[in-house]
Amino acid sequence: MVTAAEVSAGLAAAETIVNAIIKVAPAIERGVVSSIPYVQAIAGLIGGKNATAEEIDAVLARINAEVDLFLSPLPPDDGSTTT
Amino acid sequence: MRKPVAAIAVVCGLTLAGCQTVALPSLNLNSVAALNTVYGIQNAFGVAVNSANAYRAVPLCRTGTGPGVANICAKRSVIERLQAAMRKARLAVNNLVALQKAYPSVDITNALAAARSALNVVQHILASGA
Repeated sequence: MVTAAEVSAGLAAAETIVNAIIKVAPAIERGVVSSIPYVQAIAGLIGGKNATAEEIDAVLARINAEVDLFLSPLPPDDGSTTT
Repeated sequence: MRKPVAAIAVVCGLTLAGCQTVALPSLNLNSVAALNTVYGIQNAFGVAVNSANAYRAVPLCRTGTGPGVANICAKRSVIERLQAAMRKARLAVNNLVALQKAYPSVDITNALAAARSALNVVQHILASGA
């Protein structure tokens, strides 16, 4: 028999999880959306489409820019994010 | 959901890149295969980079905590390891493209292996951050 208190506790936990996901959803969505062209290109290759030198140059430029973004330094650790 | 999709895409790209290295009978066909190989690994790398950027965009975990369903956060140590691996992967992929462009008929097996290896490291670190 589930008690009202247990139901309330479950709802509170669910709310915490949903709030956490909503908070970071834009970042995750950006990551998924920006991966789409790469996934489509892989699908094209699997489907028999041949790559061109121009496509390779364009993808390399895009990837290098995205890597630059990833390599930008993290904020210094003041001890609160030592993980 | 995001990580399995990204992982499948990376694996497909790597597999595809591996499948394209078979020696082919004519120079033209070989060039096409090399272009497809390079393009496949580039796009697998593109998925990995975007996954890494998405991971980096979430808040850093607080000291003493770790990522979980109720605590979506990124570990500083994982990001730092990814950055080191990403530098190597970028270098390897750029080297692969440069070699293929400068010498279209040269065997790119070694450069390809280096790029695949570097990308595998990135993928493993990404998986460890989950």
